[in-house]
Amino acid sequence: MTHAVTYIGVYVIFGIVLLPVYAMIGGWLLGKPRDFKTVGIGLASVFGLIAAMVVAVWIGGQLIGLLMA
Amino acid sequence: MTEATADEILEPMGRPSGKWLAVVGVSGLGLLWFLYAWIVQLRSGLIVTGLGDWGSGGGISWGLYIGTFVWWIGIAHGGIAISAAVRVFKAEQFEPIARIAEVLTVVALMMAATNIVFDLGRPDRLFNTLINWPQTVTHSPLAWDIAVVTLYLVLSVTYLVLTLRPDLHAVRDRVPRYLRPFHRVLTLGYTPDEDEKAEQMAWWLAVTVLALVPLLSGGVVPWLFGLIGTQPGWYGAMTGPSMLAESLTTAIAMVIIVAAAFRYAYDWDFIDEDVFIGLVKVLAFLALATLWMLLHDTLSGVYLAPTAVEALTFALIEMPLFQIALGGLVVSTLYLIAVILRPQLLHVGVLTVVSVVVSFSIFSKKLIFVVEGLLHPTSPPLTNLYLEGSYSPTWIEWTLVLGSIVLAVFMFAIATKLIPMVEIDSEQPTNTTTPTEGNQ
Repeated sequence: MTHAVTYIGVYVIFGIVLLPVYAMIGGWLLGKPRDFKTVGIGLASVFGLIAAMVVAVWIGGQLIGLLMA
Repeated sequence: MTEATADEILEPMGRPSGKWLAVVGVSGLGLLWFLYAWIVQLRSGLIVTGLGDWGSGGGISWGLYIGTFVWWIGIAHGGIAISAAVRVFKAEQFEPIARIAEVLTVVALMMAATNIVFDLGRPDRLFNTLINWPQTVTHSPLAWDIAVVTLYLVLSVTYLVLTLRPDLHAVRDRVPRYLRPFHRVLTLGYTPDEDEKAEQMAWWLAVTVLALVPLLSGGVVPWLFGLIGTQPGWYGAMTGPSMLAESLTTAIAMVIIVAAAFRYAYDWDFIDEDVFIGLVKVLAFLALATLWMLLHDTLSGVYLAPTAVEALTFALIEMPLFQIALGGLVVSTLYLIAVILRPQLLHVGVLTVVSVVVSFSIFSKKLIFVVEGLLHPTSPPLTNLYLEGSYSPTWIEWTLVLGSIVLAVFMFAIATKLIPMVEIDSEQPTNTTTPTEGNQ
């Protein structure tokens, strides 16, 4: 018996879990009042925080490495 | 409902009070002990914990740290759920505690992630989890968790920032000078014209986060366990709904604890009895839902269940920690129902103690769930192959777990100095004394 069905993560995350996020971005862009500058601030916050977390994880790993030495 | 004045709201950002200094001092000392324990673990490895190889090793690889991770994730929902209820369902009675609850969400998510780091054998390789994510996401619920916890944290912080901007602009001349550069970054590009759009965006964020609650605490977190067929204690479709009920219960209990702490620390009478009665009703409903799920789990485990599940259920029932957790939950629920029937029985101090009992009970239940699943791998093809395991957490594990609670308290204390912890009514006059002057 194979377990090919376990390779469903892309569908679970991008097909189900992220649905509310797609709706939210649609609501931001298409909902009234239209104000793309404020939407830009919101999107910059979302993507900026994701980038900041990636950097923080890298820095955190390096610092922990120093503590372990 | 008693209205909060701008002076009251800004008071915590002024000169430190004795209570604040005591909290920061005690939690700061606790953090030093926590750092010592963590460095010991980092230098010696997980050998200093009670964790061990699962299966033929007779140990368990997930214990106190993962149990605490699940507990913190649950707590994270309370904050944003309360705030979203105010924004989406117009539950205005919770308005005074909405921002306190939002901060609780952010702090709880950070503490959840911290407990995952404690559990890693090589935390210096933390970044590898992100490098390999495009491959692991295809098949690993652990990678799904990384994605959704990150997403939840990002959306919660964005929500906090969007709703903070008008407040920070309104009080820009009243906050201590050293905070102004920080506030200028948060209000970058702000004009009062954006308020209407920002409110619409906050509404969408609130709806999105509410939709993510069942997908996180009732989804990717329980899927770490419920999808694994080799562990009869974990496997099953009920794992998601059960864990969601437990998570929301402990989340509301923690909101009560934090709200009561702020009311006590700053004499904030605007966090009045209406707020607590509302929270009692929600908590009673959720505690009953948790007990109902537990009834399902237990009854289906003792009545003509598969041998492995039956053995596990009886082991659970006979476990003293489980009995304490169940007793705590039942007694607490009875008190909550009594308060609903006779509101004059409400006493914020007693309610806080009851909320601590509820939160501890749920923590115990989650810990037992994580540990039991690995202690009893009795499902084919592992039947009679693997030993029945044992697990006893060491002082290092207890210190790090308690350290995450102390760190959360410390972060809350710092947050009260950085931002207004209650949303400021835009119709209120805000041009009186500065908080620093006001406390001299």
